[in-house]
Amino acid sequence: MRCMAAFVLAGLVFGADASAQRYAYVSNEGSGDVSVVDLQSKSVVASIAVDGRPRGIRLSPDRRTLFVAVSDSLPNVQGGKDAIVAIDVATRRITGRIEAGTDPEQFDITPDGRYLVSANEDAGTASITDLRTKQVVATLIVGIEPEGVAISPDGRFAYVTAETSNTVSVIDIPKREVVANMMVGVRPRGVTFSPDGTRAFVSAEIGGSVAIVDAKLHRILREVALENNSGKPVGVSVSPDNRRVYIANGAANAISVVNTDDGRVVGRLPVERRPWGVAVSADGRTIVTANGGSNSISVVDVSTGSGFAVKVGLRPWGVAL
Amino acid sequence: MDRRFFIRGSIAGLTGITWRHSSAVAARLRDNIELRLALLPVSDALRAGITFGVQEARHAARLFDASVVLRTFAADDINGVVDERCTIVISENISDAIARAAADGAVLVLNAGTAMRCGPLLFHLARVRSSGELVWHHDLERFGAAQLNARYEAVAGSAMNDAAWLGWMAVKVAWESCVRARSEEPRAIAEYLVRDTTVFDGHKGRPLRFDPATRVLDQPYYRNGDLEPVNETTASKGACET
Repeated sequence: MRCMAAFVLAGLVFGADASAQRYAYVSNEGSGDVSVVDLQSKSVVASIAVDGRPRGIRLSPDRRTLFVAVSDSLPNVQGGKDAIVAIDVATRRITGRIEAGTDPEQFDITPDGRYLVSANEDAGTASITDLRTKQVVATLIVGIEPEGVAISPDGRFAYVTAETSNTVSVIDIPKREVVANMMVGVRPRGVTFSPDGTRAFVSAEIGGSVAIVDAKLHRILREVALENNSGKPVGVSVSPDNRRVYIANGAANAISVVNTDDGRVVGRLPVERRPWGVAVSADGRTIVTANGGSNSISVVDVSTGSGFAVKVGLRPWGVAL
Repeated sequence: MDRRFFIRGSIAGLTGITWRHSSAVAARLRDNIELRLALLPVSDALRAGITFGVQEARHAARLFDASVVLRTFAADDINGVVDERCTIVISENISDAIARAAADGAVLVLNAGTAMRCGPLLFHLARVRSSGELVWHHDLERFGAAQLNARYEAVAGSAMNDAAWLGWMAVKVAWESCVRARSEEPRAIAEYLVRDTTVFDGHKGRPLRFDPATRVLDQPYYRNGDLEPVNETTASKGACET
């Protein structure tokens, strides 16, 4: 891993093997669209306008539908554009707009594809939407300025970060109830679970750290400082083998690689400017970042640190593989 | 939908939006945590910011079955402050009586005004500023500033100005310090505030810290008409630095 530290991503065309997922889907907050990037040809093959400001982006568990959180450009105003947009992956056409509360920013979907939990940034709430009926079935008060959402692999709990109150609220999805709250680092943004469900990871943008959480007890185990606490970490993603967590440090233009078991920072992967979203391929070999400052994605081979970049829309925010 | 109605409705818990928090299994910070704040006479603008800050602090406190109490006192009524068990004082001016109470360890002062005094329990939300120099402006948008401005406007009915930000920040500092220091005791909070790991988010895009030498909050400053931060450091920080 140390060899990664010496690697500088110079821009275009290295040899990352992104065959596990051929396409990367990128939400572009500035241009109001989703870029579909062919990771084999290293080019944008489609651009899908979503009529609003897209941020959170996820594929359905069956990978047939791409969901994108869309809101208006003004905070604290409930507008007609606030929705989760559903896009058919095969045709790349919008198939519906799903109600998910006001100003949805990030969201996640239960593994059975039944429920979608979204953070409603302006209202200080999280909404649970039944994807079968496409109706909001519960709206729960969480922390102030909620943003990140992750659902545990067993589908029971949703973690919702809140940027202003520095909290993570734990929602029991079947009970439709908040069952715990945790204070975490300053300005928490991204959150994700390890695939085995034992740990969760929460980035703190102003705190410059990532919290490792016991996801069974809903307790913070440790805070890990990143980039001397000055990297402004946002996106987080865990390798499929549960061993590594990758954190996008927006101000450091780099991905931190952290051991999930002991919290050691074991690598650093430079990428292009202002990485916010980050995703790991299913085989764990490739990391993709959405770089808001350079209007690009970086595609990095985890084992070699080599990679390439592809220009996408304006202010890319999130990425799904 | 009207912006103000929407926000107030959400926080108050209109039909379908509920505080469904299970206290039986909720992760409590500490039993019976209660932050008691004393407010001395301040300007209307500062008071509006404090009121908004208390509202947000109470929202956060409710997540943990905690509470935030705000009591108002006359300028020199230190006996009242102590009788009401308020351990943090928010003020615009630091009277001799309040300074003595802080020196005795009875209270910690968060000063949102420009009158600087030096003492281990006297903390200042901003340094002395030159004419036209601001800590906040309602046109700021980055780093969550737009969201903060909008939340404040929805509650207060006016744009967040310099004084309102100072009031909101004072309460935020008080609440977070009380929680993270695991104490309402003034000296414990003071010790927490000057730790090198202690930072706050003022929606200004970088960590804000109290300078341990001056106990002034280091932060970006702005000028009217120019929203890029200016003059972040200065040789004249506070009464402790002469």
